[in-house]
Amino acid sequence: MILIRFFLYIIILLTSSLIGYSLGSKYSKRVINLVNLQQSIRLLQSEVIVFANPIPIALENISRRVSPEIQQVYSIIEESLVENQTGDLYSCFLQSIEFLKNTCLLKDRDIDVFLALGKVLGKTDRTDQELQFKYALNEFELLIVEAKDERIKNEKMYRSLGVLMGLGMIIILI
Amino acid sequence: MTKEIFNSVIENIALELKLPLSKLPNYLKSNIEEIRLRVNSPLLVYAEGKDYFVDKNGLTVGNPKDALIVNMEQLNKTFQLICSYSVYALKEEIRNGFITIKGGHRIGIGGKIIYGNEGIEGIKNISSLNFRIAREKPGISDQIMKFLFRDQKFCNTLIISPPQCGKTTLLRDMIRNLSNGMNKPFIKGYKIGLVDERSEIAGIYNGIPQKEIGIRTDVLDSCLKSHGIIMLIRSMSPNIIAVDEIGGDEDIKAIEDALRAGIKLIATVHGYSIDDIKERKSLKDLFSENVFERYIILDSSRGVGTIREIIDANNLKNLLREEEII
Repeated sequence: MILIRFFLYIIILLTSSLIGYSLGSKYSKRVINLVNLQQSIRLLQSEVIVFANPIPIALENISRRVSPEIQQVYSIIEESLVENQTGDLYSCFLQSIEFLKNTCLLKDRDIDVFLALGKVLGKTDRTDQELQFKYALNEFELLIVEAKDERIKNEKMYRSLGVLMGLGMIIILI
Repeated sequence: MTKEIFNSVIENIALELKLPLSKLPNYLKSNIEEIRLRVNSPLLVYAEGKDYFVDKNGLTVGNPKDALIVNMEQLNKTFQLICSYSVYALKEEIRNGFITIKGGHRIGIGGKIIYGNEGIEGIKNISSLNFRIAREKPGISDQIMKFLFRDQKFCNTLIISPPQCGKTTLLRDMIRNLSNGMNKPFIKGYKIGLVDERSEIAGIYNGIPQKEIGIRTDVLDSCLKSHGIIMLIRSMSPNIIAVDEIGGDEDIKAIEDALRAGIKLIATVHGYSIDDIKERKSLKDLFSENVFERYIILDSSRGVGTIREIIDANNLKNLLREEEII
């Protein structure tokens, strides 16, 4: 009987710790995806500014060189470009919102910066495009700093909370 | 032109305009030469010398008020599609006022011109787009090739034609025949250097000629004739240089350099007859030096591309009775 109770306490502790870790990891994932997205925008910048490749080709080129999650973002945009032929690149960027939010775990303000780039991408000459890229990259830099702060603050907190909650429940049960 | 070519061209047009255009009857699709989009004006196609207004159901209507009116948003979306959402990649083309799309079709752009330190820098507030559907008619020059040789040597040839009478189409086919060579009459293949200033002859898209210009043809695309001729002489050792629409003083100077290097020439010029162009200041020297040995004169008296005369410059004899080739 004691053995079973001990086993149950362990399960409670593990489960609550896991919940804490998983809630905390959201903050890490946001940082990782923001960094990867920023890196992909740098690649897009060189495709546009240095190589002057058209957007569909640029998207195809960079999607081969980014993390699987960010690759998926560009695939959504690329597919929308080819399928819909809307003549509106921004509407193709809008298709990626759900994925950015639910899978990449980005916040609304992160997504807004990405969409703002979609609004102006390809519409002006190279000099102006360079300014737009610079602006987007700076914004991402700030968001990454902020996301890292949040991670430091919250990730630890959720992890500790998970463990403490588990221990608390065990104490109550004892 | 087949309806497939038309269908591939309208892929570059905003959906709201593409749908009615896709419903046009096949016989009309096959003959359309231009699709004109002008802001706040009816959707218009031009075929067989006539304008047709198109309504929202894809029917041609006589009254422009019944036609589908093109708005600014549709025009902007179409412009983005033409540019592949990449205005920055086509800066030079936009500065020149036209963009060449896949298939070698040219789209003229109208709007507000922006001037900078280096002349035209771009076009903003796009207000009209003219899709000029390129036509290719392989074989149209087959019957006249024999007139362009004397003692088995190619003669410098000038095609004289009013606008939209098929001079570029004829020039392209002559280039193809000279480059590939022919069996009947026997013509050996020549190395051709083509300066395609307006991307109209070879219709180059992403570096690949979209038109049949022959196996021995080297192309300088979007290159000024005056620059291109000199570059070809220096680097490609062509037997024949082909250029479209000569006229500028610099062009003539470069042509003279090519002739001095022993290179033969095919060129076109806007005009109605030899007398019409002979007096032009820039062309005077070429005439006084008897540079051209053959003049091909086109008109549309019996349809687009009617060859009215092929003149031997030596005796001004017409080598050809009127013959319809297109």
